[in-house]
Amino acid sequence: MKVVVCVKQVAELPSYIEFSGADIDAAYASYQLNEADMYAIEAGLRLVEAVGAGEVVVIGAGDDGTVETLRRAIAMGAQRAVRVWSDDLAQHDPVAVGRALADAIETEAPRLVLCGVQSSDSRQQSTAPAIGAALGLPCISAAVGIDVEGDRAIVSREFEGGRTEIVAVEGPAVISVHTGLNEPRYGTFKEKMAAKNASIPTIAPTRPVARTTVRRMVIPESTGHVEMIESGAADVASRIVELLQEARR
Amino acid sequence: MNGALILAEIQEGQVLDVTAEMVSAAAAVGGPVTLGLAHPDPTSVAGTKIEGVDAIVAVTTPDDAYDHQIFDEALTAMIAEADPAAILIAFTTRNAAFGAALATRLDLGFASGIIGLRREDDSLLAIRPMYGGKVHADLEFDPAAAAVLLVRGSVWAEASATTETCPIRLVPLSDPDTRISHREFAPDEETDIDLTKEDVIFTIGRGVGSAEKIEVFERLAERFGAALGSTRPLVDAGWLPTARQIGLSGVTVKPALYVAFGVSGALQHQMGMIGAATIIAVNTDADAPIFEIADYGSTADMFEVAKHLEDLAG
Repeated sequence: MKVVVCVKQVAELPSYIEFSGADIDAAYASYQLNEADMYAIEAGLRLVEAVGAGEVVVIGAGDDGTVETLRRAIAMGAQRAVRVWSDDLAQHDPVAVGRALADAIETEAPRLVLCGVQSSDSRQQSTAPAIGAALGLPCISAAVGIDVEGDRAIVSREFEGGRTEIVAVEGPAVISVHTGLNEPRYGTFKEKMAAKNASIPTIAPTRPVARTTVRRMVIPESTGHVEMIESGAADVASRIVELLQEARR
Repeated sequence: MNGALILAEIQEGQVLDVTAEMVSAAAAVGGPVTLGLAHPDPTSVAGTKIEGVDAIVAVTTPDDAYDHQIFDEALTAMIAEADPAAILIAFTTRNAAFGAALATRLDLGFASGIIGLRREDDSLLAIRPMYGGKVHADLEFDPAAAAVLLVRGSVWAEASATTETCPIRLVPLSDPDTRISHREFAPDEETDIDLTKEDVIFTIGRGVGSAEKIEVFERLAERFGAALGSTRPLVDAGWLPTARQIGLSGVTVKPALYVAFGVSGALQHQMGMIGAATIIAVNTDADAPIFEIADYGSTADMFEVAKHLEDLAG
């Protein structure tokens, strides 16, 4: 069984940053493999292991830094990685990213496509549905359980309030997985060496460009009105008790 | 291509507040506002009389409120009928499951989790928090196509109710994609926890550190007659049941008092508790986003505060 897992390099920002054009200056950010994507990689590895044959191919759309993220995925046990990139790719538009990933996925013709439910920096839950639509495949979001029986996948998906629906889908499909689905592995020493030496090809997207662009980014003005209690834990506790009494009045 | 189409959020035959919030948001789009009803019996839906709505289009759907494929198809039919410049949809798990697919399939602009809409030199700009909310992006859309906008709740004020009725135009639903088929709903966890009815909630986040220390706050909540709430990571780790999770993928609460211990206040969590009347947050990280929405805050150690609270409980 071949499973493609789509991964993203996510940014974490310190309290001070600067901008470069219509984006943050990357020099201020630290980058890593998106947390939810690790659960997707683990889910892919387990599906392939259960069948006993096949491979997990990780695909990421992004600039040079994405190569490190893809290596991290190989270090977890994925067999191969492919990067999709062109300088005019609208990285913040899930529709553009979904289409770009769809190009690479189509070439692989996998049994299933897995993604993390959302990226930790953008949190839109939208790349998987965009990939599904670009490929004409059904998409199931927010999976908390995946079982594959032959041509059929049985998926539990989670809605607000923990409501869980079990659905079935025949044939190739895109599934986004929630955090908490499994326990992502770290990978063996051998896999880490393989990651170091892996050759990761870059392909250019061919599908139509985005209809959404970032005009600018700004640091939001604080809309907060918080009154900080600076006088220590005892006073904080007293204030909580006062507020409790007020709330119950 | 003109005006806004708003997909009404309907639960148990009643239009939810977020719908009237989206009507307020749609003012920036300009042009007529069309309310879209996707429901097994659209004419029976209550709460559709909202000030600012000019027309209603409705699609009769099979009785399955969770099937995102049906909503995708229903919106496609409504868009063909209303020909809007912007399509506003509430940012929920079900709607996020098809929003970007709709935009991809129909080749439209797209933005999700938006918290602002405005016009600037005749372009429509959507404001979206990015990089965990530290940055806001102004997104603009190709004027040649409509834009699908997934709108965050509890941001705009609700448009008022009106007594005037709009005629309902029914549009047929073409055959929805049915490649994903419903099997069953997993039995709801046996639980008597219902945080939505609580007036005081003590919520713990990652700051609690380990499963063993949760007990401190369980005991505290009990002594003060408060309910214990949680953020997603604690539920993912299996430390607390799903019923205690507050946020986009958990429950939405509106208590009189919300006390957040070691909660960073990610946007996803904020969406579930921003309606609390009073919020007090205790977090050693002065940069935590929770302080942007809290009324009172402290960077004291949560366990020290807990110790003092225990003393005060007597």
